[in-house]
Amino acid sequence: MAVMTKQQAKQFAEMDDFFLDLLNLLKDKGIIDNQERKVLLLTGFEKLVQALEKKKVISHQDSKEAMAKGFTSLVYALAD
Amino acid sequence: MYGWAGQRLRIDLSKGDIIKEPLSLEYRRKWIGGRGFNSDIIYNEVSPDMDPFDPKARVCFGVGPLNGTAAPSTGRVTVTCKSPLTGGFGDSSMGGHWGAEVKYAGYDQIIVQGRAKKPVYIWIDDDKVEIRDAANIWGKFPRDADTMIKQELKDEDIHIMLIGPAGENLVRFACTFNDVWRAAGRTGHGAVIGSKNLKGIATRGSGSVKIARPKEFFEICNRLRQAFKNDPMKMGLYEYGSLCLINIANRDGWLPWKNLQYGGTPLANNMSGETHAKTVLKHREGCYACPICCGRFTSIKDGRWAGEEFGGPEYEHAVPTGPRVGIIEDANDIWHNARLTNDLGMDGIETGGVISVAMEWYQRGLITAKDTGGLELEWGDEKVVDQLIQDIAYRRGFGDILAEGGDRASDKLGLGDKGHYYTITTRGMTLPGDDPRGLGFGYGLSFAVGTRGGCDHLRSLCCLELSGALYPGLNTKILGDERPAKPVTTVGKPYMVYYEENQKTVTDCLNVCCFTTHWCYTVLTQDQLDYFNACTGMDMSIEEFLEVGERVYNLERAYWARQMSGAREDVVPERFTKEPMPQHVDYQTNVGATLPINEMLPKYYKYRDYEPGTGFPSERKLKQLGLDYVAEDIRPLRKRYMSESEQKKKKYYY
Amino acid sequence: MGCSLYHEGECSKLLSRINVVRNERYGESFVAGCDLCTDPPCAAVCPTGACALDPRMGIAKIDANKCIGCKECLIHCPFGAISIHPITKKSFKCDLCEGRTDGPVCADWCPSGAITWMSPEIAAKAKKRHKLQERINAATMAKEVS
Repeated sequence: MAVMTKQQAKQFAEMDDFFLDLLNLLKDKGIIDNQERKVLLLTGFEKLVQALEKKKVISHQDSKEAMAKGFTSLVYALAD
Repeated sequence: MYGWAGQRLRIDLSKGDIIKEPLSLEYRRKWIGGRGFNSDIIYNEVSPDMDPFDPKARVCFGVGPLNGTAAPSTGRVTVTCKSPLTGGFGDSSMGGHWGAEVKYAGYDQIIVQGRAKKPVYIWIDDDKVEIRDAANIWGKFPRDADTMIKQELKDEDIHIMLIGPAGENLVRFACTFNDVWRAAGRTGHGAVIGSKNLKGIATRGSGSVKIARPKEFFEICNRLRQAFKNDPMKMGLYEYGSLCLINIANRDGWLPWKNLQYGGTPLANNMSGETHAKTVLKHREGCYACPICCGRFTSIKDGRWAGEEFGGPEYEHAVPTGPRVGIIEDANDIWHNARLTNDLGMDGIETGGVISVAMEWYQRGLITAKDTGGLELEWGDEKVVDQLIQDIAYRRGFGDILAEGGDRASDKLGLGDKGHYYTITTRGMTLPGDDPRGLGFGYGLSFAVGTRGGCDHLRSLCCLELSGALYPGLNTKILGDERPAKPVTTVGKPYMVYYEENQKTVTDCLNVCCFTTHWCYTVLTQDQLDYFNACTGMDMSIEEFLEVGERVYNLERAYWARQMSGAREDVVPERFTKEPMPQHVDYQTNVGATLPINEMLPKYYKYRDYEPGTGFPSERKLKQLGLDYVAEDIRPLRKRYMSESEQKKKKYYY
Repeated sequence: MGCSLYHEGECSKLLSRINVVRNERYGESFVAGCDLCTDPPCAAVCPTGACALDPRMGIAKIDANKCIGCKECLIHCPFGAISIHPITKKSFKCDLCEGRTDGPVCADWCPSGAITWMSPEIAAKAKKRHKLQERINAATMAKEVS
């Protein structure tokens, strides 16, 4: 599922500290609600990836790659 | 009741009252224990304008639901008070075995208030609690008082918390010990205890900790202990103690030399863990239930200090009265100084810190021998350091001024802002032996915002940047990015500090040793949650668990807000932002580095949901955490903090 | 507390079959545990047969149902390895965790190797090798220093 453009993904990939901005974007797009945003902020990247896979926003393969390569892989998986 | 004992002990030394207060499930769920219980009491019962030495002030000793169990490293105790050093919120943690004993005696927390008419000690023998005369142990070193109490009570197996002469003399950074040598070093609670005429608390506990799901709990503990056998950080800590960091610190330029003018010295190896192990190590020591055993016992064999023995030292204990004051040639001098601060009952970090500050004032001509009572404060002069440590503890001569801490001493000597530049403090407490220009920018950020007086590595202990390289993939798993594993970068540090602070706080509420879950990353948050739930029978989710950490942290931050300490005080010593790191060895990795604190602070505030102008926790965040009463307390203070008059004030301590 | 957790489902020093006594001042400690005597004095003095050598496991074991709490075993053990249960008031001691696959919990969990468990023959061999290794280490260190 595309949540952002490739251009946005590139901007995220260049960020020094991306986590809060990514969660805010996912909330704005209605992928996660306020409560989920709060939980994911506390619990970190692995839980975020698991949540996105569970919601079928990313595939199992994307999820595995994200855990191996980090957020750059994730944001490009979220891009159209 | 599983995990917890279910009650706290409140002792009023003025009235001689001994009260046992039950702790409801709701309370335990909200605060968990240890630092959580303590922070709640201090916030509610020690007002911002109270003198820390006022008899009405409290000092709390908190243990947690895991203390005394088979989970890794469950002996710790958190000690909390209003700090006489900073004037703000202060706590410290000690290992040893006393924490488990307090739990076995049937208490989750001990609160001491009031002031005894003459020196006393408290004797807790399970449910029997007595206040006993301490006339013959007042003035004694902890190791002597420990022996004497055990003889008096006819039991060598009891465990005792004690202060030394420095606490009795109200040295603002006096500390406490248990089991003679295990110290809770920072923020000066030893002086608060001394101000109450309390020498210590002896404890015998014959109870047990009941476990809700014993088979499951055993399996988790067993799995973690097997994993520890191959943990890379554990192996270094076991072999060489926390002194295993000396050569790394020297290489990466964070070993304080001459009050952090430099990040190391060519002779650093003289005091490394490897050298210590070959020359003076008598035993490795472990706290209760610990699979790491980073403790040392030192025996000096030759030179002028031959025959001296003591438990320790840690890296943070040895460095301040070693390289920070310019001593490195004869490591026995460093071990001796560490032994001395232990026996006298003073925070090694603050003691070495304040002496090194005075030495730099002397170096730069801000003070002369006239101010120091004739002492010539030359770098590396062991005779001077040895004398000053004792003069501070007994408040003699120039030592009496230094016993006030660096910033108060600077004011007493009339040195103005220039004096404060060299005290290397934030909110009145000095930096530990870690220069953030090399240790890491995450640590640097943590120093600025830490809730026990800043300049404090143990608020976040963000070892994802210190030992991250030993755990490939760990930074990605938690932060989503492996780049923050590099210490000297701002990449990912705001989130790293936010995450690690919450995680460290809930670890302190459980009261297990943070070395199992920071530094060594064998125990991760999910593991802690698993053993917590199996032990207590609770069904907490991981977010509720971490939220406890966030709640306690915000409560402490609000404590500072009540003292008008917020965004303007989230600073690091200017040395780190203005002075590029000079070179001390040719293999040094951080030459030229400064700490870009302002690049990280705004993002960190967003993670914390602090108000940008004041740096106070937002109302929204406080309400989310169930701290509505705290939101009400600080609502009227937000405007006041931003007022012109408040903005003009320079606050070095409170 | 690993021992007490494994045997009793709760964590307590007093329920542990193995005990560590310490002198914190001098940094000394001693582990008081069953030495697996081949001819256990604890069994020899037991009036009811509650304490008896289990030849399969190679350790004396106490049957709580037969124990009358006379404490003769405790008095006669040279190693301080027997304790009185705080609740039943009967003697109890190590049973090698009844043949747990990974061996006794205390030895499995001990981080320093102070507690080890092995057959007496292997232990004796290891002791001799250990003494030789100590000499080699001392000689190497002396060489380095000089």
